Amino acid sequence: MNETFSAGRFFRFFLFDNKQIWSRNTRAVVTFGGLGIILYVVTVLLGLIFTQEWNGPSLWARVFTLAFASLVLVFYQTRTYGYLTEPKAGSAYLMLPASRLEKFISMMVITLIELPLAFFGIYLCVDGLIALIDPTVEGAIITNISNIYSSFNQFVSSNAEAVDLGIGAAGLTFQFWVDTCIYLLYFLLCGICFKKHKIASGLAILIGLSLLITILFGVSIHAGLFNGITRMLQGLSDAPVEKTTSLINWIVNSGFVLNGLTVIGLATGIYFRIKTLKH
Amino acid sequence: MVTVKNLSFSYPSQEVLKDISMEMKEGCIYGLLGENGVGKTTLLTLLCGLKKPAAGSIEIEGRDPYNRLPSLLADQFYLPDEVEALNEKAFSFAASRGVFYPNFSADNFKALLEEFEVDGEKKMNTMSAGQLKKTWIAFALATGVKYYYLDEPTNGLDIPSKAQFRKSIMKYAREDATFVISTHQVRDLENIIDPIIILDRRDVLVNATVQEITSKFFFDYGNEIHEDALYVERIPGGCIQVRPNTTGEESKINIEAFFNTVHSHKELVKSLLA
Repeated sequence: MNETFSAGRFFRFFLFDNKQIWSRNTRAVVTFGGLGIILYVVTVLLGLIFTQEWNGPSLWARVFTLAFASLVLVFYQTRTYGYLTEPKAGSAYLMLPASRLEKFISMMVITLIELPLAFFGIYLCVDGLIALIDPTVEGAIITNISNIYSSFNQFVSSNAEAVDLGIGAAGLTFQFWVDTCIYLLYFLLCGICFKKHKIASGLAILIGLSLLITILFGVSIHAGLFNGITRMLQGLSDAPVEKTTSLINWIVNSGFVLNGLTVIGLATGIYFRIKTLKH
Repeated sequence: MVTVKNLSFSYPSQEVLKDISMEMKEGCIYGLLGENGVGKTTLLTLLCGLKKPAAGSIEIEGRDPYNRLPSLLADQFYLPDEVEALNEKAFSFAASRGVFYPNFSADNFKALLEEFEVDGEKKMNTMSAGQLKKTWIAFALATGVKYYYLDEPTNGLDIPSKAQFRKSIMKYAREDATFVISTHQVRDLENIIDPIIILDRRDVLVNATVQEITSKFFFDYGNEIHEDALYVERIPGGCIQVRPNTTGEESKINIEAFFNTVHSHKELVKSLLA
């Protein structure tokens, strides 16, 4: 018997894990995904009460609600597998005959692909249906995605008008997904590490890390460690466009690499947490 | 074969097990007895791999349970004192988990539920504590594994269910199955546990078969109190005495009386059974 990975055993475990996760979380995912309906009903009701006009929520209101719901989904990751720290459910999970790697892969697929897909799928479908029924809502988010991205690009490039980042909608979507993965994994790790106050503990660590980085950054600037970089950036205004573009692309790519490394680091932490969980 | 060598385990505030060694043979039903807090549950969770020993080792057929290898997990079952009430029907619960155990028998599970008088179509989170425990016991026995670690399995069971539990173990467990059953309810399991392990704080006081115990101790159910009695307890219609067995006479063990004897004469019992 292969003790590390067996496709048949993984498939059995993946099916089992899915059943467990969806029986525990379907209601929450549907509720978060359905926030668009609540926004729509509230906006229409408020419009009828105060202006006596039928007006659905604007595109940006729905985009911000989606961002808010995404944030809730991220925090919710502390609950998805949070039961692993409970003695009764956690010990039953650990005692199931599947390898640590199989349990880890199943957890990753469900957390990083299934749950976000279901959540965004429900949200965007509901939004599309509302847009189809009510013309006052300025179209569905999904059909306006290029407008949203171009607004985002304008915002990004406001300080460097001549620079084309060359990321494109697909690249931005991928980057958005990677950023989301970082937070999903971070709060998943908090969920399986802390027995109580999972969200609060996760936020406290994030705030603590931010403070630490800010202090280190402040001290570094004060010590003149970044003088070279500052001089280089000051010189960019006189530099040819190609040089500016390549530098910004380098910074953007470094950000991608850093995000990728963060995802790998968090995933490794989750694997070792599964390995060392005790009851 | 389960081999425990120089096993130690501590919680941050308390040392529980210290330098414990023992062997458990296949095909036996070990009764794990001890006062509250001596580490019975800790030992069970160490045996099944839910905890890591601080020192020493545990080997189950040459495998360390803490590695939680799928092959070993598929050959063992740990039943905690408190079990989870899942939001699913008993049959569905067994079907989704049974696939992980090569010897799982859905027919046995169904038969066990019938014998325990539990409705398999009922959702587990709507069952009473006793019904829930019986469902988990039925599933454990239906897995057909080789090693069972059961923590207070008869807690919450009514009288007929306790009898059914004993019968089910004898009927459904495979012949080479090893059971380690932690319990305070020794009378519930008196007729099936053999050998008996008695844990003391940081020590194993007894790890002996019933035959070994009765060859060294005589369980006297007569009315006349003997001077050499190590333990005397008055019971309706007479008394029970535990005396050193100097004549080799056979007697029926009373585990509760033996447990109390061990606790009042630790060194003597250890030396006699050494």
